[in-house]
Amino acid sequence: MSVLTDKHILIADDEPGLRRSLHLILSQEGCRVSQADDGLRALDAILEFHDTGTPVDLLVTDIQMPGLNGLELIDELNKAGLGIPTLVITGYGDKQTVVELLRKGCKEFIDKPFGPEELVARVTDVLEKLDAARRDTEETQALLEAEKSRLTMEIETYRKRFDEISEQIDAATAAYDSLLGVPPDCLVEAVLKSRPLSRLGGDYAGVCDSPEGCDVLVADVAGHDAGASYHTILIKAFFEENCRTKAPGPDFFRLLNAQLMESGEADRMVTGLFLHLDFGTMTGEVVSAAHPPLLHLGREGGEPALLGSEGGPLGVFEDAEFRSETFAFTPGDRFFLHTDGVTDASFLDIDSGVRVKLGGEGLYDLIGAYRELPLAQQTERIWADVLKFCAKKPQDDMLLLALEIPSP
Amino acid sequence: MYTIHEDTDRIAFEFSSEPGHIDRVILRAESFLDRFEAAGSRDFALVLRELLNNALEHGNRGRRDKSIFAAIRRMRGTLFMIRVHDQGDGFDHQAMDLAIPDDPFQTRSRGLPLVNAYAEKLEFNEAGNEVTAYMDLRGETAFRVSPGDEGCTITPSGSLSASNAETFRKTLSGLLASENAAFTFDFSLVPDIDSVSLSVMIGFAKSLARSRPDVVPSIVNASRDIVDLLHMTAMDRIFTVRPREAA
Repeated sequence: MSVLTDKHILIADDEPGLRRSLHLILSQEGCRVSQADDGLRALDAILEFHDTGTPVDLLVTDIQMPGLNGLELIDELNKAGLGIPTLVITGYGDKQTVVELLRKGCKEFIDKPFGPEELVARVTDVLEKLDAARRDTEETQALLEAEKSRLTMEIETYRKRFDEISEQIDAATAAYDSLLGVPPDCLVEAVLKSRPLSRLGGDYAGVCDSPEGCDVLVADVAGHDAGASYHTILIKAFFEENCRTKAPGPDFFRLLNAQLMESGEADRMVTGLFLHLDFGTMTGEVVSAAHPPLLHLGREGGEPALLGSEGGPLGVFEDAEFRSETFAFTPGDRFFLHTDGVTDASFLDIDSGVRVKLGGEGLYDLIGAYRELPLAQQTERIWADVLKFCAKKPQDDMLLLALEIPSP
Repeated sequence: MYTIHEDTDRIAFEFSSEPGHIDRVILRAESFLDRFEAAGSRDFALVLRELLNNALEHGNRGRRDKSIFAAIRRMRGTLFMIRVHDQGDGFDHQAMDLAIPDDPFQTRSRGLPLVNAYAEKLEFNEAGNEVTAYMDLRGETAFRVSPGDEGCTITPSGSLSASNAETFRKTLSGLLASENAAFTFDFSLVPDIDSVSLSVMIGFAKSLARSRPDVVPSIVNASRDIVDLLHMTAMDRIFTVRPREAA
């Protein structure tokens, strides 16, 4: 079966002789052939064939015709949205027309005079090209479809993976949130404010009671990722264990340091501040590991004192040594512990181009400014001011823990 | 209506509230930025688009007879001001919470918090129909490594923080295999260093101490704050630290 079999070809030519011979030649090749003797009739016929479901596969048209010439016929078909494949019969003197046809994108011509074989060859050629183009389009389409379904599957896989990871992050976030927090029935009144930079943080605060008072730890693990939160869990476990064993602060930090050195494949630096309050003797002990000092605010007024400024970081040096500082306190005294994210809160001063940090002084000023308020309100106001200071854009995880020694 | 006024450090637009104009403004503003050594133009386009969309949708409520005024001005260096003014009734910006909502799937009212997160500062006029955002387009910190006779020098171009710590780590681990006689960190351009980046430097110093115990890395031109931080974290035990000369 040739490419010509059952193809519907319309011949538009005003010469009855030529029409007849074209009809005969193409019919013999198995084509279904229709005829029109001028451009206008050809247009009507093509439109009608299109409407009746027997569309024309190929138009073979002369150029010089009454009514509509070949060129106008092609224009009208295009206007009607029926740009069908066309083979144009050209003769001597049609040069200018050919140029115009080329410009319209019509590239198939046959020059008069031509023999039956030449006609069949040209028509075959045109129809084969059309078939090839159609196959190409179909193949491309099929390839695109295949690519699309592959991508859809991949996206689906990613989405599932994302959902899984989201669930894990949610679980980790919940775990981290529950890590922080102060038991409501502590011997010491405690108010905690914290805000991780991303959903998981590396800041930790814990308070636990002991028979003679309570122990407090604030720590800051480098990083804001799941790894940091993992270290935070380890620190919490060690702190709770220490509340049971009651090792002195320096020993607790030495143990914690050894453990962090062992598990810290990524050299994560940890800073921390440990506070032990003894309500029997009304004395406190503070141990620092490269952490910002705590502020001791006496109930009776007077200058606030900074406590705990010695000691290297945790998780960095095998031979790290920690020293404790002791101090006395009275009922109603307050302590403020924080991580450096709070004092690193900053904004860019537009006029000077200088980035202004809250700094220790800024934080201590805020603590002093609200010292007459009850602890919870004081802490609330300080926290709101810190967030306002950095336009709610923290540079780091931020944590503030405020404590008040109860009155007997 | 669509008009542009432009001079050396400023470009200003006035246009009717038609969505198509917003794309034109952004394209033109980006080519204005190209004149300066400003990076981070993607953040800039995001902020500008958010502000213009707000002006069109919420300010002028899509009314084409109302105009939007937008101006971009270079303040100094890589600091730019974006000011957008609409002809709407304004809104209660005092009551607006600029913190990014915790729920990542909440899409409502993310616009201005997003702008706030990218901008250094956000200001509103009294009426609430003009917003000014200041943006620093200095771009990511780059790490320049320059070899020299006395060993190699690593010069970070800006802040050292968690966001660039991984690049920092890779840069340094690439250097560990080298045969440099010394390693010097030049902190002339470093205003801040966070604990994640400190950890990266500790990791580097420790690896170096294991493979080449004779080489002690040094930090030069550190600001007073950074010198204090290095002392507090005892990092001056593993790095030789030289502060910045007072200007």
